[in-house]
Amino acid sequence: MKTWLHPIALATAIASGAFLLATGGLLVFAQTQGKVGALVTSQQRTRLIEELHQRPKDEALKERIRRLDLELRQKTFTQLRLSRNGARAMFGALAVFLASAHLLRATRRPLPNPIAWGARQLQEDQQLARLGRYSVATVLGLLAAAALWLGTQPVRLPERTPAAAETAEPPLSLTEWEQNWPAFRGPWGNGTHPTPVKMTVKWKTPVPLPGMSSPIVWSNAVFLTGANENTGHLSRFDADTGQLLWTTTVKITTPRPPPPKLYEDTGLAAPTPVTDGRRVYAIFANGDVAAFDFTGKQIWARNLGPLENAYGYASSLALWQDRLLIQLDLGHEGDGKSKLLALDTRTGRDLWQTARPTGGSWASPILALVEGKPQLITCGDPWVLAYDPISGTELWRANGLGSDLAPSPIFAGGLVIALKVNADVLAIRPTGKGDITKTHIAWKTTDGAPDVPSPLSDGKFLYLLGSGGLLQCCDLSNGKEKWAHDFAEDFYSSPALAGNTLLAITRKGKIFLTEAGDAFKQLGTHELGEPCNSSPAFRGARMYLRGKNNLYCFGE
Amino acid sequence: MTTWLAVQRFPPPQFTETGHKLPVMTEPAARALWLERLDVAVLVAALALATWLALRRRSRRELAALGLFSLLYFGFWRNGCICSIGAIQNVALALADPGYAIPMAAVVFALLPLAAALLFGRVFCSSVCPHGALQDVVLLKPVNVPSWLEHGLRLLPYIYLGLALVFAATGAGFIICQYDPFVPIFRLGGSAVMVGLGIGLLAIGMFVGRPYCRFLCPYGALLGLASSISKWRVRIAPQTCTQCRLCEQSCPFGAINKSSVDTPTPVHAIQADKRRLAALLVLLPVLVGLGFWLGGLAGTNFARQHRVVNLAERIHLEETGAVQGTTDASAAFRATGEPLEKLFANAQAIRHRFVWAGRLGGAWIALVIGLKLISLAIRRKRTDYEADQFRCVACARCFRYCPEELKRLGLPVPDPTPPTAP
Repeated sequence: MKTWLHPIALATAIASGAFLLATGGLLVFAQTQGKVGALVTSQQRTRLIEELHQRPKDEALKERIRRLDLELRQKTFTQLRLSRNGARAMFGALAVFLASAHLLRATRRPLPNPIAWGARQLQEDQQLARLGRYSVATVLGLLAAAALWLGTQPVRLPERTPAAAETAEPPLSLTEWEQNWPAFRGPWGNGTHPTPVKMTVKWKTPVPLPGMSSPIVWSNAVFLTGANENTGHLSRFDADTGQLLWTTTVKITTPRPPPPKLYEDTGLAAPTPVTDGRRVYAIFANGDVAAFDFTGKQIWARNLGPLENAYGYASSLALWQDRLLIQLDLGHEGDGKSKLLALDTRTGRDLWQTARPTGGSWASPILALVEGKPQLITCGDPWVLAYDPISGTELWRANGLGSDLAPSPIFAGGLVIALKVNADVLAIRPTGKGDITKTHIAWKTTDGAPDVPSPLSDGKFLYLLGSGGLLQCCDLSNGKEKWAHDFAEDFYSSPALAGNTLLAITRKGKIFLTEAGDAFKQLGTHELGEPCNSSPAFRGARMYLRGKNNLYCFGE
Repeated sequence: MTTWLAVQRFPPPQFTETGHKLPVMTEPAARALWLERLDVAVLVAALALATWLALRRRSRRELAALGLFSLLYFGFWRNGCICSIGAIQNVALALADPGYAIPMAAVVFALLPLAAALLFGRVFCSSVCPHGALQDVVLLKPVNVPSWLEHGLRLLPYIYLGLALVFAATGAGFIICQYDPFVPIFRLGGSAVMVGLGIGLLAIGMFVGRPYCRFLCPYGALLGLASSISKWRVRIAPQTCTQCRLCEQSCPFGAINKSSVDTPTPVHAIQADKRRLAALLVLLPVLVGLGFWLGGLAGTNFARQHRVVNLAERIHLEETGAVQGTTDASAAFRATGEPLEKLFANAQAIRHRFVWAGRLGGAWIALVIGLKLISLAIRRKRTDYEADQFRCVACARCFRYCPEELKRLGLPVPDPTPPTAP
């Protein structure tokens, strides 16, 4: 049904369409040329401004920048005007094109022409219905796949309950703290226990997972960490019966860094956990740190990122009141990777962190009450550093340590004893401020120091056990050797003192019992019957010791 | 569009020597109340007029003129806001969050077209919605979308509706507005992606009738549901359908249902459909349960779209060393000194809401898909050619194809053309 309007509409549509395409093409061309953004992208202008920063009084340069800026702005606004006018023209042309195209269609509307239904109609309908079902099912499948995929990447938020975070807790009782064995080498990290232990095995229980960490004890609960290749575990044993009450895994939703390279002598579970009697805190070499209640329920967990440590992360946790203290000595000296971190024991939140001028080490921090005030004492390469555990402020530092540092410090007789592996023994008076290397070193011996086991003291004598089996006794007040005895065995376990009995445990699992004092006197030996690399824990008249395969309880 | 073409953000001039102060940036004043009332009045008037034109006047030309007015008023003058499509999000947020004060205009824009659809079908779509009008303007050479493909694509608006309500009710944002493809065109500016999407949809719309309305519009899904139970919606034939089939190809939106008088269904096909129907009816609760579960799973991810959750996650990753450095948002939050615990607790509560909203949204989507499958298993008997109760947008294009309509108007009825072989 053509009318006289048809050719007019056709001509208008063609003309406006061509104009539309040409204008659109020109606009796109102008856009791709980048002229519009010349002011932003002008490298010359940027360079000149940088030059002006260096020569702020160069008037000629200023004038040059002004001229260039004006030129660029004029160019930019010209281009903007062109774009705006071009777009308006395009809209106008589009309106004309659409109107003429509609007119064209109206003047040449096709007459209805129903398609005849043949015998195939029903069959076609059925086929279309089947395809329709497939089409709907495809949408369903795609949606389900998308939802499943989305579900694999949930929002990562900390696993902590607001209620727990907001609950104020009474301060930790120091009496209770000292009655238990809450951390590596006891409440003050010095490996001494006032009560002697009868060396009879009360019970022994297989450990669920391997690890180099030592047990800790709180009331009738013994805690032990272990790990498989990727994940850390915590187990609780009944202190009276040895029954394994539960084993739980660190569950963490944040992405973990790639698993670290593990060494046989460290593994994932070398650090010893710590407890405050409310919760147990554990750290593993994959960077996971977590808190569990005494029923094994995880309270919080987080990953501290890749722990780059040459032999695998091994420093045990320390704790002061509501602060979980983590010595992260990583990398090498000078690369700035080491820090000391305090987490809120209730929530796992950062309370403070302090950078450490040290490289990687494997020693554990200890807490000491110096003149009634707490100090967190740490060893690294090359510093002994003490901090206020509340604020993280550095209190003092003393130079004198070296690399490959594994022995932890102790505080005894008013002195901090720290070891430079295979070299020096340092006795430091921890009462100064700042760098006390020249002022507070009470004494120093240079004829060798243990490389793995930590030192031990009864307050009068200092006992040093080398990994090669040499046990030395020195006067704590001046470092002079009293006696030495070579067990001719290998030791990783740090020596401990129960009552007046010094216990030294070989890597093969033989326990040497020696009387503490100014002369060597061996009291006896005991065979575990399996290798042992961990240090003993004590509570009351009992000692708990981890062998390679079993956890032992000695005593009544 | 000119704004899009232009790169606006360049450094301001430096006036260090002359001491000239750049003018302070100001925000535009809130829209005057009388203008809001004018919007509502125009909506009411346009809806009433569209209903009259579609049902009484049955005039395509007049509906097109009204559509053009709506395009200019609600589209280019009001910049696509306020619009009924987005207003359902305001209602969803108001229902979920008692602290949100919803503007009265948003309530009217969300509910009035629905009420009209309940009574008269989708008259809003016919000529009041600027989105529909814009697509009608560009529709030049409509082609049919295969019905099997249309069955799948027609589900998308329901899915979009579910997602939009989840995001709106949880306070994460109004995604319908955020991803409205035509608003950048109404405003002559927007992100390159959205401008491209709008132009792309309009380019498709030159050949596929109203692609946004049919395959994306979440409000259209609601209007379709409302229209399906409307009593006075449009009919192709003014009185009696004579089965002449002249209207068969007239709808560019595939919204005409054929008469089944001439295609009796064989018994075996009926039995197969019955079995399929029974199986689907049994399967429906399972499907809804599956949707509920999958929706909850997806909800744990969607929560990230909420700014609080996003910030909390970022800070958590910073705290745990999983990411290095800070973003503007995390640095700004840390500068406030607000406790992290509070942020995390808030974020966890929002995540919880997302999980539940996701479950409900998932169940809704599964229900729609299940009902769609069921509807495909039901063989309906139709004696007349009918405008589809869900899909018909009351545009009146088909009326003039009906000889009965021509008779009603007193126009000459052309001789019937004999059907051609397929």
